[in-house]
Amino acid sequence: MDLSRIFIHNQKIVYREEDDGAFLFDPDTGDLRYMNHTGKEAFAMLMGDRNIEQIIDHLVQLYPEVERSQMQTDVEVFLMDLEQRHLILPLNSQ
Amino acid sequence: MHPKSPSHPLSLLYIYLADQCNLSCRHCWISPEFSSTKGNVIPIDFLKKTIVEAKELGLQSVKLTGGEPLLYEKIYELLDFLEKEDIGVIIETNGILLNKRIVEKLKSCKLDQVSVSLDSSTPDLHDELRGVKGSFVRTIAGLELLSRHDIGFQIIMTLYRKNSGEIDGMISLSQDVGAESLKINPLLPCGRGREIFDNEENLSPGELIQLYSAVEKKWPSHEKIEIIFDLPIALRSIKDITSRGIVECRILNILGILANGDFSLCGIGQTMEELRMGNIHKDSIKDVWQDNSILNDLRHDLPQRLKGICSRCIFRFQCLGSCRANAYGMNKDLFAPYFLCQESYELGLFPDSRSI
Repeated sequence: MDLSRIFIHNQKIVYREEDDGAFLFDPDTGDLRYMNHTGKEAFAMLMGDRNIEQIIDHLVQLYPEVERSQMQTDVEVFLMDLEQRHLILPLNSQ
Repeated sequence: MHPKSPSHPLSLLYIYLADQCNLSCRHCWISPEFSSTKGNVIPIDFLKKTIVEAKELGLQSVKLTGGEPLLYEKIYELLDFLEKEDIGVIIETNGILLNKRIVEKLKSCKLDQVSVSLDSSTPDLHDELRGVKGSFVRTIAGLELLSRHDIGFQIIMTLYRKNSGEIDGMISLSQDVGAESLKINPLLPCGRGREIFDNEENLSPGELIQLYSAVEKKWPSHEKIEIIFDLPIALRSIKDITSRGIVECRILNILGILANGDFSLCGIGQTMEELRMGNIHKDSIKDVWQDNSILNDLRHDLPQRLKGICSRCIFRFQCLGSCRANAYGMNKDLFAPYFLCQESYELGLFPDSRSI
């Protein structure tokens, strides 16, 4: 994955936060994705002002017990899944 | 009426092999006649023909239930046939009639799940809830037999107020007898269960949610036995959803066959005759599956026509309103909200984060 890519929230998607995680829900298709704490942190940073590499940098600071390579893999898998489901959008496509 | 929809495979047949049961459980939603006599209600030849035809519709597994399915006289022949046809077998039994021969036969089948009902770790309470003295001892003997033959099984506990303090004991007992999982089912106000609700012997939604949280906290998922507290998805924790996934009734992929051969929306046709749809003696399962208007309405209208809190729940596309049979049993409406979610909502207990 190109780490310079920037994503933003899809405004059509419902985001619901709870103590233990969060849900993304597409009211048109019914698609549903749940996220753990790290997912919530990553999702919160998809505001159009940080690219993937910067998000990984931030998460590694928050979770120093996780190796950077592992964090990168996790973030890439997570974002690719959200993008494929159109739950997030690449910047400038909305 | 909606056009037929061939896009839904018939993955699972619920076969109600016996319209009688050797127990008299106070909560049973099917309400079979009490009897220990073996019978041959569904002619096996019709059943075989129907199963072969159902394979063309996508059949993967059958759930053998009842009444007590082991009261079906041709059970060995049926299991032989299912093995030969490579059809998965789920069996729901009270375990009393399990013996070496049936257990060995089950072991040779493609077993998806063996579920055995047990409501208490205390013999007297189990016997009281199941309506027959001595049933606890006989069920435990059946479980031990399964365990000795290395057959994985699940214990299903139906939750009354009276046995709600028994969960720790049930978890210990389930581990001791070698169960893979303990499924805790809240009572349904259907069939005989209606009277339990009328007498307020069930737990309220608030009590259920509280107990669910306490069990999750006390018995985390890394324990050697899986504990499945069967609340609708919207009332479960994120941790539970992520570890166990979204497992709900696949109502759009299931058809029931009652003991008299009637096709039915799962087993609810037993008590609601308007949800029966033909009979294996005279109708083709293919025609019923493809043309029946009740099934086609459900395919077309779930989840869009769900009412009450179900119409606003973010899980409605996965959950499809939890148990539609129960919704119909309570409201005569297949699109009525699921009672536990609706009552939770009315009590202010439905999570705001899960409705839109």
